[in-house]
Amino acid sequence: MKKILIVFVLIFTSCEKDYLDVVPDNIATIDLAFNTRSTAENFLSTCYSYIPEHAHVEQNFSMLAGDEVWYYAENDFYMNNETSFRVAKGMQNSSSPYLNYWEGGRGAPNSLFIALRDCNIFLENLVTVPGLEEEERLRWLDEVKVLKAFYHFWLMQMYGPIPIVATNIPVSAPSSETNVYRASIDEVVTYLTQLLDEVIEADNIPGLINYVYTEQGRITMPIAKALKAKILMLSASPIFNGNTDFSSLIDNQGNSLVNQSYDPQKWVLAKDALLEAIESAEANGHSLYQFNQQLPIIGGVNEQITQELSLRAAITDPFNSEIIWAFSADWTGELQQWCQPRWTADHSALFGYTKKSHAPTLNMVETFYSRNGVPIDEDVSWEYGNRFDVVQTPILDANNENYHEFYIENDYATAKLHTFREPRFYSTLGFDGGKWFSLETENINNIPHLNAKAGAPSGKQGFEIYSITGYFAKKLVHYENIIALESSTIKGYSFPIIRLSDLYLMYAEASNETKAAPDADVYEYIQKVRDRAGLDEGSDLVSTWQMHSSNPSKPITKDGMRAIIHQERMIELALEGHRYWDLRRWKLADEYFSKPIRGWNIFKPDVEGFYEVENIFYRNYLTKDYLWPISQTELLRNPNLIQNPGW
Amino acid sequence: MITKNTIFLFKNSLLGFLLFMFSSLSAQQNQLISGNITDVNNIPIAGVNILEKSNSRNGVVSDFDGNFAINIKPNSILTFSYVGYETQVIKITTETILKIILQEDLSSLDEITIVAYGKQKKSSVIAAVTSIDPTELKTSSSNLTTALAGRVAGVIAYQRSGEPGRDNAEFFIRGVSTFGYARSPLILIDGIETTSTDLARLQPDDIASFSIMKDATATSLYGARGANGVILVTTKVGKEGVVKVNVRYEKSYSAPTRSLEIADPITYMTLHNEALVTRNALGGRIYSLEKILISKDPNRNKMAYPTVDWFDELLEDYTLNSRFNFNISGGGKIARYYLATTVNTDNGNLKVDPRNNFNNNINFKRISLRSNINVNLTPTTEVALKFNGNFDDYIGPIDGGEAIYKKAMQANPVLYPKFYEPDAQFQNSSHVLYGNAGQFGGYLNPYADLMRGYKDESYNNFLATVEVKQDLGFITEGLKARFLANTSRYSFYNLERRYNPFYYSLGNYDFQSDQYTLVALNPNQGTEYLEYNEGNKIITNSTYFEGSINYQKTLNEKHELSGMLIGISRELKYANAGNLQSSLPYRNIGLSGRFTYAYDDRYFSEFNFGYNGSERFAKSERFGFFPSFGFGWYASNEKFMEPISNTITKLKFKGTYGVVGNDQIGSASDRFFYISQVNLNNGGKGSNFGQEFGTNINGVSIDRYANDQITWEKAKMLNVGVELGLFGVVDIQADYFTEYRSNILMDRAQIPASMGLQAPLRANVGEASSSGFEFTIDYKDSLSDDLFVSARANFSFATSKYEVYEELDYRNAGLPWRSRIGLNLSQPFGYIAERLFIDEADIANSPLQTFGDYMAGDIKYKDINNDGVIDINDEVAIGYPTTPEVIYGFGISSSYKNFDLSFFFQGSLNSSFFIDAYNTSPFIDTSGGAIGNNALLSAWANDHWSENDRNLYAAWPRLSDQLIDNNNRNSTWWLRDGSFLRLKSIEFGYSVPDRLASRVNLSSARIYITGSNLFTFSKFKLWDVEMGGNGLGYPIQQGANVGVNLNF
Repeated sequence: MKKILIVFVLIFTSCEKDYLDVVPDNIATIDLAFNTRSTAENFLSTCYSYIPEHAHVEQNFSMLAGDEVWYYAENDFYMNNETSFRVAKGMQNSSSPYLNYWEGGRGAPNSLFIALRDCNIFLENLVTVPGLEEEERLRWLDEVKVLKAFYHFWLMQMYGPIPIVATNIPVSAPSSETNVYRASIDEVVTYLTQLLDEVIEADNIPGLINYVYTEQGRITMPIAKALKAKILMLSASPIFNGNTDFSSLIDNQGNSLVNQSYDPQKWVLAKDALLEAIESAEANGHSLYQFNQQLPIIGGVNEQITQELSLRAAITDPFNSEIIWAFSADWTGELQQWCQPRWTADHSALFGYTKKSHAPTLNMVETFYSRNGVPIDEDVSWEYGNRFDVVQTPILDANNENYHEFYIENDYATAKLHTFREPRFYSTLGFDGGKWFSLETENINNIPHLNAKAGAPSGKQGFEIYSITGYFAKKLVHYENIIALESSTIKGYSFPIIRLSDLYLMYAEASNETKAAPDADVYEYIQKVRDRAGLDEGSDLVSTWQMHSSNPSKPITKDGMRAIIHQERMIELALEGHRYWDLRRWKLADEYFSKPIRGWNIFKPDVEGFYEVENIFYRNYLTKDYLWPISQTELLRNPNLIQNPGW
Repeated sequence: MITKNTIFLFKNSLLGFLLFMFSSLSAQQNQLISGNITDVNNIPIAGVNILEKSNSRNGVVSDFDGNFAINIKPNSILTFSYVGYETQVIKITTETILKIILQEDLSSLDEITIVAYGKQKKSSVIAAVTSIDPTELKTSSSNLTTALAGRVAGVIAYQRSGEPGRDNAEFFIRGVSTFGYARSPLILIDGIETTSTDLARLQPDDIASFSIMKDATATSLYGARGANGVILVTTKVGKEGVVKVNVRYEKSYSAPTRSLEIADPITYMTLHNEALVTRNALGGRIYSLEKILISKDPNRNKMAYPTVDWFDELLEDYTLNSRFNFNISGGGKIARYYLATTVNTDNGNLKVDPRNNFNNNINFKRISLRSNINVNLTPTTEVALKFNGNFDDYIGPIDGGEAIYKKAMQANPVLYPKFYEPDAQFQNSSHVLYGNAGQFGGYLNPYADLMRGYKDESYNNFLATVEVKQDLGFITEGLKARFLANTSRYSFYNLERRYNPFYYSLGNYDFQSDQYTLVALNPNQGTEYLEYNEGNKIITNSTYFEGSINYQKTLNEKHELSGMLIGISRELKYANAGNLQSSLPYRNIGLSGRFTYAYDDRYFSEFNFGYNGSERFAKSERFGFFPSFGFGWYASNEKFMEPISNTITKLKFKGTYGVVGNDQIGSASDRFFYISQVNLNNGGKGSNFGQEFGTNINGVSIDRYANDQITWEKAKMLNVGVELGLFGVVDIQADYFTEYRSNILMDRAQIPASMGLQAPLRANVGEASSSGFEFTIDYKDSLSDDLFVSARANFSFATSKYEVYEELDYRNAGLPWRSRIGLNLSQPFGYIAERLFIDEADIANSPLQTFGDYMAGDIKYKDINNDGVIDINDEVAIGYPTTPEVIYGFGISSSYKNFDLSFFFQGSLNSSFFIDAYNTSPFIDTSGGAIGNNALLSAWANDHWSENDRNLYAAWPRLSDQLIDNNNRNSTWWLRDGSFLRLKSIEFGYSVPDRLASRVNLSSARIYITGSNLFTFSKFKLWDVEMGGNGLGYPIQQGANVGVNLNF
């Protein structure tokens, strides 16, 4: 026995080195991701997963960071939006930037550089995968190239000049390699157009999605071309085309990151790319959406409501013909809950579905045209000066007809501002007295209306969840939604990232910039958008201005036409977040975003009290706000980066 | 005699019988020696080892009556040895019947110190080891860890919560000396690694010794696991002799040391209205003046106008607990045993609704069984079998006790009562009509949350150890071997049984008739029956082996040599690991050694080493060598000290230096730094595709990048100490230490985000230093025959410093105050709050603060870098570290005749904490799950900025019904001093006189009362200061115990 003991001790004292080798050989490493089709597809899915959720008011901050909508609070039991809303309030900073897509955090789900690194891992490693056919492999690679271009584009929109992540820097690289430089706008644009041209020329990605139930949302050729056009559009626009506000943006190698002389040729490149994108989209079946269904409603759907639904469903009908790119990760259910107002007891009971706080501002409300298709302050027949007066419906027009029959509740006191507006006004906004068509409507002659005064169903009731302006984002709510105690339906849709009218209006804009004065080429596509919106009936925008505007020659001059195109974009794409990027692109953000945010006095229950215009927030938008700050932390890590001006 | 011996052996074990066969076979040609062994008082001593010196295989043990008989060769030498007595050596000549009287060995009785893997004579110990008398660890909280603070020099400890079963104190040996993952000491109970929870549950009655290993010489044998210090506990073993029975029963009363003071509901409503109006002139009131007015009327209808003190509704003022410990020990020549049982019941102070037929209060029952059996297989072979089972059953509220305290703070006090008395419509309702508001009952009703069910938790831990000790004196004298094997089985589960409360709100109330109607808020969601929710299940197994060889020799009476080599291996496995990498076994293997040389009891030297490997590192980094050495000089044993040997009874100097490691550099799930960790099927990284959002494809994520150079932390430790004994009654020990910790694993700070890495890159780049000193003074004296007094004080100071820390280059960026280098490891950072803003003009003229909206009456911060903006660059180090730098304690024990009295004070200095501004913000909703409105602390109600009283230094800034992020910053505004001094315990006892006790067959009996945490001196009054920032949690308890202790 004693001998056994001694042997035991010796065994333990002679260190068995294998004892510590507990890790088996086939443990998962990144290389294994490309050994089977299934894991490679997972990696492809990961490359897609970094697309910011466009229906999310933080991730897609462009919805809230401008002046289109406003919220009653930053943060309470129901929500926490201390990021995009704080940017809107001018509280952006460089020590811990909000929506930090560079590093990830503060509302940004990821650093987009992680996305770019993953894209590069995919592009470098997807060589041969058993079970993956060559055709599909090439398609996947090109999809990821487009995503790579998109993530660069997102960063460029925010930060301007950015480092180009063409290939991955090894993890163990010394700081001389990891401390990258920001490339100039021109270099970034050149790189991205080359990358997208490769994809466009190779023609490995489909023109449209065949397997809609499994692949809708994947990259198509019209998306690649539209993205290229948007990149070129951005580089041609005033923000980056000879913007001397950024003259100080010169790095420690002496490179100027934003070109300082205006180059009109950039508009030509953008225009050509847009035409290519539009042609590709149309060739693949994209067209402006027209509603043409019958709904189970007493009295049927009349012409006016059909018109309204054409405009609404262009957004909310999932992957409709007008949508060039939408991503299935955007379910929009949450966003719709924030937009949905209340008009029944069930709505109030189901307050989780009807949070009604995503409130369009009076600034937006005034942007829409009059019924005649011209700005309300230009329409010679529209009483702009008295727009805040309270009027009692019905109000008849010159032909003694009730234009508002399906738009505004009868025998209701509402603001003059809400009367005689273009169809997009009524399809985009919910307001006090405004009707809200949905599948809850049983009879076309009895469409429910909203009451937004304090204490009323859609007004401010408690201390949480209410519209701070008195308006509601009808455009973003699906007309098929039914909120009822027995059973509620929130019909999800994919928030549009790019849709055809966006391309049409960009084309008009680019075309106008390439010409001394607008011509038929400029008018062609904007007219299509106006036609679908029910404007210029049987006529065109030039004659509309001549008939109704106090500035009848506006469409004939380049500057006048530019203003028209700007306003058309802000109306057509209202509440989709485009206004935020467009005003920056046009270098008009400091003018627009420095105006007070306005709404009605929603604390008041009575008509007189309610229809007082309140200034909700004052903000001063500064030159530095045109570009996002890079965090000071990142600048300390990488001394080769320079901060954007003013931060 | 032989016959008697045989029977005895046979009774005890079969092995003994075999042994007898063996010894009786060889007995024939020898001489039979018999005799009797007693102590000086003529009391027989059982269990004395009698060995034939020339043949160490031949030995016997004395029996109950001190008798023995042994066959030996003629003219042999016999040795008689017994623990606690001086060994006698007798040469046998003609006498065959001996009368042996053993002298008590006064030097050895309490002079043995437990050290790593062994024992040493106290006089020869040069390592920094503190041993504490286990009886000192008795507390009224039945949590051993709460007793450490102030009792043991060198331990920095504090307690943040008083919830039964969740009230472990945090403790660190010589402070926190690393900013790596594991900062807590290695805890070994009977040589087996355990958790601080297991230590917490240990019964002081069962502890034989409790030692804290502090310096490199004490811990380097533990190699890569010892750098944070080691706690060694051994449990009692049986001693040969009559059966001893010890019974202890205690009943204790427990109540919070301090309760939060909440403003009354009327003030609450008035100030909530103020909060709304003061932030938004248009905001209006939330509570009508009518409601406030009526609520003041004591005769109002309390269902219609509720004012609820949730703390009162949820919590009892006190609770009663009980503790029972029973142990029995004894044994004979061959086998000795120590058997112990403990049954402790701790209750929470939560209320129970009589309409529920289950108990939702915290009931924490802990049963512990311990069996330590030692068997002498042969005179030179001893086998010890130890079994220890711990069985905890916890029943408590679904959210846990801490959450109930927090919810009481988070619920609105005036919107609804805890439940409604039924109205006409619901008269026959068979369920409780819990109060709520809003549709579906979205508000927080903590009463319903408390009553809606209970959580069942069970924790079982079973340890089995076998240890074999073999004296190898037959090879060469002084050589011994030891082998130990242990397995520990741990299991845990929890589950919930709950119903969904039915919520009601007030429909109409008719003031005239005093009738109200109720509205059912969630008739479809509520349930009257219990539902079942499965919880966690954790199972872990560990096995441990240890084998050692010891050699000890004294040459020429003056040179004492010893050597020890020890090999260990340990394996730990998780059943529900969660992922592949965590499921792989956790292993350690090591070889350690100790070599000592002492000359003439005056000069001592020691060399120790550990050579360890751990599975978590790359092959090239797996093994590490950790040496240490030390020297000691027992000056009082020198000739020249003899003249003053009555004054200076002991004087010893010692110094040690060495290297120890810490391989716990990442959490249990964060291992194998040398390989990357990826998830090739991660649901969180995938995307949705398809028209109907129907196709979800998972993604790929990288959780860790490989770095094959990652290895353990290394600590270089220096200790110098002095031990001084004065007049034979005072004993002083003082130590000074420094430590330098390097190889601390850190995230690389300089990797730009533009690299696009998904996980931080890590490397062993951090370094920290710490230093401090500690001393203990002991005084023990009998002032007269009846009066005995002992006093003890100890003081520990430990501070630490970041030496190398991966951070941004703040110095070059002109922000040196943001750097942590040179600061304490737990140094808090925050803003310097100057005062509250006076008005809008003051705001306009001050730097822009970037933390959300702010107004007059909100906190104004100092612009440290003068850039006109208050942002993270204006954060500076403020206050003391959050871990206290000083822990001290002092106390006196005295006995007079049969009475004894003792008390003990404990204190803490040099620490800071922040008041939790978020969770104490009145009116805001912090509850997370349901809608709440925070209660209003009286302190804030009485002293806040208001438009009428613009006190720029009010305790609370301008009221708000929403969180004002600007005020919710770590700043000097909320910083408080964590120092305190408290009467930790006081005990008064009475021992029944022996003659009375013996009449009822008791050898001793004592009854006593104990008080703990009875009062505290601190400047901070909102809650118990020791809880620090966790003041809204389950309060630290004070208690009073009544106990009785019987010995048979």
